[in-house]
Amino acid sequence: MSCLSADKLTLARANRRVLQDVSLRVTPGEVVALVGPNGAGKSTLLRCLSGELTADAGCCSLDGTALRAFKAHDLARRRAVLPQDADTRFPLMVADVMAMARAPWRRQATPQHNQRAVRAAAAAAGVVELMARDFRRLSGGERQRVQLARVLAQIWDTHWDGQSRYLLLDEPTSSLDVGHQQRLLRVVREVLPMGIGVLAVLHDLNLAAAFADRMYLLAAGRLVTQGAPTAVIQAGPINSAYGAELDVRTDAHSGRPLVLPAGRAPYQSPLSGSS
Amino acid sequence: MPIVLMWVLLACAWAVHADGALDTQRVVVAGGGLTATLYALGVEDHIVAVDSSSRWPPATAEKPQVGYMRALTAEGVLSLSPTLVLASGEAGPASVLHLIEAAGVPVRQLPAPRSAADVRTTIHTLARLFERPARGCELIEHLDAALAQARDIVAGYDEHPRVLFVLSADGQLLTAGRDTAAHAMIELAGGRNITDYTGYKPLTPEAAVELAPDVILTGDHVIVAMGSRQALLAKPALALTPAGRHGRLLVMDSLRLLGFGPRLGETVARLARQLHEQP
Amino acid sequence: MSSTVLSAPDVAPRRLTPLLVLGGLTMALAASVVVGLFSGAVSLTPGQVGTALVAWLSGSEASDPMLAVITAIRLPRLLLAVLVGSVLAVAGAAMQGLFRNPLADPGLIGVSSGAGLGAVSVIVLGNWLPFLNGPLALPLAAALGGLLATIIVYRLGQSAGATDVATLLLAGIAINAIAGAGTGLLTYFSNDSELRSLTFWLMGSVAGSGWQQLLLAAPFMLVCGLALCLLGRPLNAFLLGEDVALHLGYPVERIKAVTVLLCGVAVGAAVSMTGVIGFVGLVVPHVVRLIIGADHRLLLPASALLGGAGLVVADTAARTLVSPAELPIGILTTLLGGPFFLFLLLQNRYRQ
Repeated sequence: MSCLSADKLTLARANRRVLQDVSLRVTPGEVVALVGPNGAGKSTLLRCLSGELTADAGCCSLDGTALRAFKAHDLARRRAVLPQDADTRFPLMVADVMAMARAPWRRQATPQHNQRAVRAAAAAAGVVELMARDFRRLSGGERQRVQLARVLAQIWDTHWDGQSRYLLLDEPTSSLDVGHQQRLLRVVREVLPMGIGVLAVLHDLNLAAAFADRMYLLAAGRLVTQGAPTAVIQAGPINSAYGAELDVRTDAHSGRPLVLPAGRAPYQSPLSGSS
Repeated sequence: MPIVLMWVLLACAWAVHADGALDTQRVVVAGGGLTATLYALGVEDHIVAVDSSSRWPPATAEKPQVGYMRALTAEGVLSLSPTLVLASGEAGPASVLHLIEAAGVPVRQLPAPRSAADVRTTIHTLARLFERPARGCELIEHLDAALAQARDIVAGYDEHPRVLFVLSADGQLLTAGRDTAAHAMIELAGGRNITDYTGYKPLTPEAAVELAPDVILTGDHVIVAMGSRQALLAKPALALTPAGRHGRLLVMDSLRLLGFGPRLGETVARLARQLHEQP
Repeated sequence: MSSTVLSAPDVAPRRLTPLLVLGGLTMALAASVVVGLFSGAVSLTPGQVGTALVAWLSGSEASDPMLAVITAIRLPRLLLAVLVGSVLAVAGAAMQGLFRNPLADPGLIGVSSGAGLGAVSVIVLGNWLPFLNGPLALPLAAALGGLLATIIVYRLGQSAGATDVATLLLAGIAINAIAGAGTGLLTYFSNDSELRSLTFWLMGSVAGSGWQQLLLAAPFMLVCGLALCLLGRPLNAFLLGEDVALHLGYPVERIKAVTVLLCGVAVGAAVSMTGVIGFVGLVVPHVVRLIIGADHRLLLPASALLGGAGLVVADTAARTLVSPAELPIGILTTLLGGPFFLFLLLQNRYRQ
């Protein structure tokens, strides 16, 4: 059974429970959104699933094999992580950044294979024309697209070995305008047929509803609810998880849930109200 | 006119201050040559403390220490309640010496001697200061006699060996150029200092070979630091010189060699003999 | 779409090819060594230099001391300058990559100041502690001081099995300050001649080396320098952040430890031979990056070559400009490198 999964993870940091009994799975071909308020443990869960952190209890596994059993470079060919913002003060060209992606394939693929993977990933993310640019001089949106191209190149399967691969995105759109957000997530959806499963930490619930197949709602280190966006985005669980007052409606056109902040109450004149 | 008068008065005041009216009961000395001279004058009882460069005669070791003469501290010196501070021209810092004077203790600085005449002046000045004119004259006569003897020895040699003075050899060679005590000693003893820059400077190793010294002269501290004579001579810059090939390395007590004290005559005579010894 | 991608030139009008860069720099290094071999306080004709080299290579002792100058003094000195320049530059490049900070230099992990403290201890305390004397005492103490400081800084930078680069940096600054104060304290207690010799040591010089010292330090510099050159790939990944390197499958902790220790040993050995030579480790990698970019696979060996050539040029100037005296080489590298560095910075700013 191909999947990247967390099974009953519990993790404490400095005597504080960061994750409590959390289970989650991502299968190839789907986008799974991880949502929840700040400090809910989303990034920690992502770091457990990337193999960066080891939970106190429970276990993460890839296609049934515990992450711990993987060698670092073997794991790196199966999953890639898009950080929130990877910046550098060094004069790197976009091509240099892209070339790094194929480091875990050094012994598995020929240089020609690797170059082809880089070019294909660059084309998929639409950054081909940026390849000769200085990475530091890109706009925030361009830089994030290059990073997406890089993580795609890292798991780009040039051998067609049919193995599942996973992309972990940590708030990939938080610094982008709505146009870039949409373009980035469209690219993500386009690569799904290559046997890639995506787990994305997202802040924007509407964006999550628009692009995710399934959602997990996390609050205070616990899983609140999970399922299809229409099932997860309900006024009750959302408002209690975020401690907010949000209106949840259903968009008549697409049938997707729509979250609106309940603004201040409409002004009512005390005089007119009394009449 | 009043200005001239003022200058005259000031000059008189200085003369009195300089020689006559100084209380020499409790003296702090900063400078090895001065200490040696005071011992030679037989007034060591007046010395209440010496600096770290005062290592001759050996009896100085019993005197309290005020530390390195270039890094004197006002409070440290004043705590000994001296009536006078005698300091070499190299002693300092100047601000500390000013502080000591401001505290009411006269400071008398004597220029660091670089010639026989300087040594004579030092002996003369100190003898007058401590009211030992007879002993002072004896010392000067002795110095002159020893120097004359040294001159005779030097005159007896036709050759002037080429000398390289090494001040330190940690890593590179720090050597003596002109305007240094080492230069003056070499010339007095009938040698030729082969370097022509001024002060102590690092000598580029191959220049040492090209300058071809016949003798390498150094203080005993260098041999201590290097571990042995052989270690110093093994440095390629020295090994390839005539001096290095013939093992002509002269080592002398650093203070005696560079201190220009009352033993100057004997030191010159000894150095002259050693310089001209046939390898 | 994919066909346009495949036919796209391999992002062509980019930089100089690696072969051209390394070839050119190798030529520059060779040229600097040749110039260095032919110049010096002793003026010798090319024929004499050739004779001396041939005689030396065929194993016979040069009878003329003037010719022995070439093989006993100039040659080991040139080789030392090449090695030290290379090691300082490659260690600087590696440190800058590891710390993701273009202003890092090998001194940052405390190695230079630790070595300085070791050397000054021998110079000053040798008077009282006889076992601190001997021709090899100073280089050994310096190397030991440098390595010790590096290890302390590295251990301080570790918490819970991971190395925090920011803490490492702060620990380096603290150890530098402490070693600097220790050096200052010893300076305070030193007398005139000690003061002179430690001042000159702290300004750096490659003059002190014969074959004996060179052969003692060369293996450490050579092995560690070459090993550092091989860290290009992982250091590239570090440029985007430690987590990126980790996700790419690199053993991040091991790379940090290996880089810091290699730099410590290499620079410790270098500083022990020459004293503190500033600016090479900072400026050379910068210059190389401006020419070829930050790809460490090329940056590291190119920095080594340029560093070696640069130090040979600086040393040749140091021993000929005021001959027969000698300028401290650390002064020259800073005097030449400082303004050049500023020039590059300003030019870079205008280009933006």
